Amino acid sequence: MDNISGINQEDVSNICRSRGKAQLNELVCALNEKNIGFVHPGSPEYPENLKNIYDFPTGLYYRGKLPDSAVFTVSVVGSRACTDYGRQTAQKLCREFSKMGIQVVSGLAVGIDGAAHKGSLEAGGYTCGVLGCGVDICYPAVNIGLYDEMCKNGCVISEYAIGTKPFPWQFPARNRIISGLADAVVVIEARKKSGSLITVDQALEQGKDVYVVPGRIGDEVSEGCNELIKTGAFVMTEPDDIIESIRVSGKKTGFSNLSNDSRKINLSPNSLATQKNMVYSGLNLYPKSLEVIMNENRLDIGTVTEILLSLQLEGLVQEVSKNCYVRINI
Amino acid sequence: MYSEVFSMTLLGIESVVVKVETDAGMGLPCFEMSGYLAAQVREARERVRVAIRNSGIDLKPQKIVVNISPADIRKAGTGFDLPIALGILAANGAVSQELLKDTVLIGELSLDGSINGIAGVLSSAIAARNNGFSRMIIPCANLAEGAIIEALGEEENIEVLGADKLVEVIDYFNGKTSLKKAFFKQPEHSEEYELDFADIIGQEVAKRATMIAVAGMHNIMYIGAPGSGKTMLAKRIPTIMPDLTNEEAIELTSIYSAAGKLKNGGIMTKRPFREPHHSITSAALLGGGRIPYPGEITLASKGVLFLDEFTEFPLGIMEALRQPLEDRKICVCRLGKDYVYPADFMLVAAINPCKCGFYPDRSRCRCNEQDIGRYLGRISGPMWDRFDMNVLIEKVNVEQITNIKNVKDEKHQVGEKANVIWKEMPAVENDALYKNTKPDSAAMKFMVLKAREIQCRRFEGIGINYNSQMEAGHIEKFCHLAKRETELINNAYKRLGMTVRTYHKIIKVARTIADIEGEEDIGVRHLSEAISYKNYVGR
Repeated sequence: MDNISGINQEDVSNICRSRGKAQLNELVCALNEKNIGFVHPGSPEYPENLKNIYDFPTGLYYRGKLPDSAVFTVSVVGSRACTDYGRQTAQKLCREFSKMGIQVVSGLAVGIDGAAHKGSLEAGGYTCGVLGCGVDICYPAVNIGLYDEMCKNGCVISEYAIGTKPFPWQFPARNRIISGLADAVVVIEARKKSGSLITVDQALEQGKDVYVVPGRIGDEVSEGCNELIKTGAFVMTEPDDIIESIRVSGKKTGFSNLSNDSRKINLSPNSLATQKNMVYSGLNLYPKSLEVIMNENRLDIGTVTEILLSLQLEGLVQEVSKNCYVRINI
Repeated sequence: MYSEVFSMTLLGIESVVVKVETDAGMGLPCFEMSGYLAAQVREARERVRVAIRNSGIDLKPQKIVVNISPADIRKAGTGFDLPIALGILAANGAVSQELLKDTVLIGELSLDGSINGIAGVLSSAIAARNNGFSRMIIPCANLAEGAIIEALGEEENIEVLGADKLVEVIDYFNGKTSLKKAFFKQPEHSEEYELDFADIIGQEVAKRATMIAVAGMHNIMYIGAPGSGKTMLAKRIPTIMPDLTNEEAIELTSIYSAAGKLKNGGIMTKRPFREPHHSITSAALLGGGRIPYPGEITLASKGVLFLDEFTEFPLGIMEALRQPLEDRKICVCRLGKDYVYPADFMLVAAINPCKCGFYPDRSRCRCNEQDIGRYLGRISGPMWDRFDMNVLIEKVNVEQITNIKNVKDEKHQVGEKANVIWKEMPAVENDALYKNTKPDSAAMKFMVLKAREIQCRRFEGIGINYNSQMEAGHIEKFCHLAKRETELINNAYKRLGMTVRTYHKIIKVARTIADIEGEEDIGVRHLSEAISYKNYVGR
């Protein structure tokens, strides 16, 4: 090798080293130390679902427990800059999916992804995050709480070697794993040129069902979703919509009696006192400001703030931005 | 021959007496000056010499030495021209030294011998009176300002005289003529504000919050999209503040006088509204310079300091505001002397909810949570804590703008709406003016005055004036919470992630709201409203 021009002594020694077993051992040690597992398509733990896609990853690094391909799995994708409507819907859907015994896969990004993982963890279900960087790096860093919890009770996986930084071009590629792991993909709030639509394209190529949560006409953040509905995607307005796909796939879930009314998304008034009920009924998943609430209900500021505060303390309403309120726990 | 003349120099906003000592006599003809002088004072040499000649007095060639004592105080400003000229003339025997002994002279000379106006006349007059001088000669241009001393109403008052030309002063001391005497004219406290809260369409919550903030002197933060009216609201705050008291007006006038910013010379009748741009330096904001000069926070004293686009202010400048906000004064330290300026202002800041300004309107805002967090994170936690109240300024929709045109036809409807939002309005029904109208500055000021009166009675003899100044001990004493209220705030404390500081601020704001509504005890509705104005950090 010394005779080859263009490489220096250092390169030569690096090449020699990479052929030896020493470096492999170092890598294995590093993985063990960080409690990270590694599977390749030959190993029995490698997710069956991924083997069925065209460009399956040649190796997967993971922390936690790999998803079980025998159990029905849903991928939830959507905008990072989502509205509270999207956030609440994602959380609610995934909470119910988990209760149904469905595995939830997403990308551990902010926005819809984070809400999906959060909803699933809330209900004590299994959830898996596919990263676009090394599995030992939490990106974005704000999700560190979710990341830690998922390492314990779910899984984070990546096809990139440990220590790989989150370069932007790696994210579209990891989208194929998100869709590949799942039996159905749910899209919540995708803009016209959203990365989520890349996932949808991959999912369709891979032959997965695509469900879309509709948005209001004219809502920029849901334009991509509504476009998908127009081109024939399934519409999802409540968790039970997924049942058809579960039946067709023939896969098992943790839930035997699949239809259940309590899972319905419910925005109708409940048994609150009259004035409180009036204010609560006026609220929805789109932020409403204090002034609008006052004018709509013709109440004075003391009464409205009193009602809103008690609704907040009861966990029915959240102040999402200064003096802007939405419903939670739909 | 030797002569002594008294003058004044500004230190901060206060003046101290200095003595101008002059000796004119034998030696090579020259003009020497000593006494730790700034460049403007040194330049007096040429101005004085020419002004004396042009006033018709020919001095023979001689050695003139001028010393301004005490020599360890840095002297700046142009007010020394007149005393130096008089000193030289007295040393030459051209004026009698009899009257000069208890006279203070200040004024800038032109080459033709006329006297120009200078800064800091009011504080000089106050210092001259306190030092027992019986007479003060100032430029005619500052006569209105100097006359304010009479408004102080002390018995041993000082005679303030104005002069236009050096000749007049010379003649005065030689007993040939008298000088123009200053007379104080009580300003008419007419409402001269051109702005009014009635100009603002909608924004009833923001208006109410502003009124509460003024009533308890709480610092307030406006959060709203660009063009939603944050600046418009802030500019109208002085219109609902109580009229300046005599003492306040004099303090304010002496600040503006020291800064040379007194517009028409007379006493200030309006509360200031200062709106520095975010590119301001810390010296300009807090006061500074080699010879310190009052900064924006001092100029905003007794009024409003409005910091628009607060997130754009450099971090260091924001943090520097914290101390004067606590102490209500700023100390500018210089080698040898510390200058203390008052900084008793109400802080009003405005920010956008996110970088693009439209959150939570997702059809226009594409900022993700991190972007929003980063944008709001430019304001540090302790700085957020300085704002007792945060309120959303919502974009006014087009219906509201068009509706306003029909206001006169729908007087009933408007009145009803006003009552809905301004629950307290019926309480002033004795006054027909405020009934069934939408809240304007006059009505809001009425409420503010009412709340201030209650606070005045409450804090009598305690050394604080407003609810916002209450310490933990005062809160315990004056803000009794009944069982239901205590439960509510404790519950909110746990559920809404508050800090102890936020907890106290909420109670203080609730106290102000209760004062406005004329209630003795803080109720659940007051607490709830106060909580809705609580800190807004991130999501």
